[in-house]
Amino acid sequence: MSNVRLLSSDNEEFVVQKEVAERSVLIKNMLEDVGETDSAIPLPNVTAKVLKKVIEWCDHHSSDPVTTDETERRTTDIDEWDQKFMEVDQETLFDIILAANYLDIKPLLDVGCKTVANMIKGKTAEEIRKIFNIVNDFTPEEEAQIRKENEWAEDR
Amino acid sequence: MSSLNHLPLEILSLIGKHLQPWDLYECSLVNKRFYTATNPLLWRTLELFDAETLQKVITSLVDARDSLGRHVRDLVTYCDGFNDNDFLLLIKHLPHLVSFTSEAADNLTDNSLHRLAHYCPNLTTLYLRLSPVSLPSIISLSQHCHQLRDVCLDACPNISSSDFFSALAHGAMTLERLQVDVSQMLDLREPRIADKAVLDLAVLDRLTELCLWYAPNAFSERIITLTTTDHIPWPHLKDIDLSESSYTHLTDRQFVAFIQSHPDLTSIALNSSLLTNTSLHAIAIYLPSVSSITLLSCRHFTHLAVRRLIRNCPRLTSFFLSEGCLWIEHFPEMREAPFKMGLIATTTTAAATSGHGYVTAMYTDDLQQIRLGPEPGDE
Repeated sequence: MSNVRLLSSDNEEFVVQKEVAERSVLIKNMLEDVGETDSAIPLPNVTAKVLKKVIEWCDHHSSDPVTTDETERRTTDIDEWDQKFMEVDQETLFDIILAANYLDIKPLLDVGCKTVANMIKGKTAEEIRKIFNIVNDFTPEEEAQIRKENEWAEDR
Repeated sequence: MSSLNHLPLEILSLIGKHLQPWDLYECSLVNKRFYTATNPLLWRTLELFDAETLQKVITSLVDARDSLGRHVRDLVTYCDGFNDNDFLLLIKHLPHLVSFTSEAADNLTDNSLHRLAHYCPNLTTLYLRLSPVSLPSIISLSQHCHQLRDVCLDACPNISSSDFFSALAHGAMTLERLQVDVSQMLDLREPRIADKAVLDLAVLDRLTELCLWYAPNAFSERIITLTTTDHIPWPHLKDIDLSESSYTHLTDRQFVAFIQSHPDLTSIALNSSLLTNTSLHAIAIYLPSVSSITLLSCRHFTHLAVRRLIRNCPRLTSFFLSEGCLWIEHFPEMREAPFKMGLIATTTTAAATSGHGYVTAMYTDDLQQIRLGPEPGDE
């Protein structure tokens, strides 16, 4: 089993099994393009802290079958290990999502999005703003307009 | 520092895909970025359960600052009284509609369907129940909607001529799933016309699912026997259902030739009085991945052959037979709990309680019990 070296944005090097690293479609494609290489692959968008988490996830899921199934919409079931894995502070959670997006690891991106969706479920707009520290930038008129347009979907 | 509000819009929208309409409603009110990412998702599927919702949607579509209707892909109506007027008001705002479902389409006529064909060229899916639509609008649909993949017409009384199939054959070549109630197509009882209808159907060579309710027996038989050594209609067929019809006289030889040439089949439902254990053996050999079997009117299967089939088809999750075929005595693993979900319709309640009766339905648990049981011996 050959290894791959990954270099985080803050210059920390990680040595991982090729099979684990290849959960990332970005890395997989890079390895295919450059062939066997001794130099570390630079990942300028991912810090060591986040990369460590991402590698942990890829390692746990290294033998999962690769699925391209997009039928699982609107479900927010997450397996137990992933749920535990995602018990992190908000900043780390969003960093993992961004890293999964950049590294093109669809199933991890999906788990991240489901985790956020679960935090949103059943909350009012005001509660969502509070939880995620978001400022309302609508004027009262704009907000009233949207409420009216979408009235059909309220309380459904 | 990363925060939810700074995630790219496409990621916000990925998150939104896991949310239900009421949550998306709240998301659209959070702030402008949230609105941009989630409002199109809220409008993607319009489910109209009642007249009040319908009126609110129409008002929004007419008054909207930006055209909200362009987000809509799926329209589903369950409301009684939904009529042509309502439909015409809605549909002109939904240019990108791909799927239309109406469970209570009693008041949707050809007028609506003509407009649908005209306004929604990208339509892939149509499901109508109880609609009085007739052939002319089916023709216009198959001429204008070149991506039709999925058509279901359930209990539509004016679909009353086999010309329906020729209309599909002349336009809807892209069809993959077809479910039609043919009970009103009286002309199908004429063998010559049934033959022609089957040939029209055979033009739809992308079909993976074919379900014809209340088909006359000659028509059903022709569908199965059209397969010859040098012509295989519907080579990708996964699901065939001709069980809701009068019983056919399909022989083992015809049935076996059909399943042999359709290796993708996972669901078969037929009604034939002549099939024997030979057909069961063939299913086990040629369709080891089959998940659902319905073989009605058959009286010649033995319990040992049924057991062998079940053991050889590990993915089988449902198996239906007519009464008079399998005695419950031969399936002691089911007799232990005669009233659980897996066993329905023994001859009479009294018979069922005393353990005498027929097995007519086996589901996942029963089938698993049978697989775990002793290996069936020779007959």
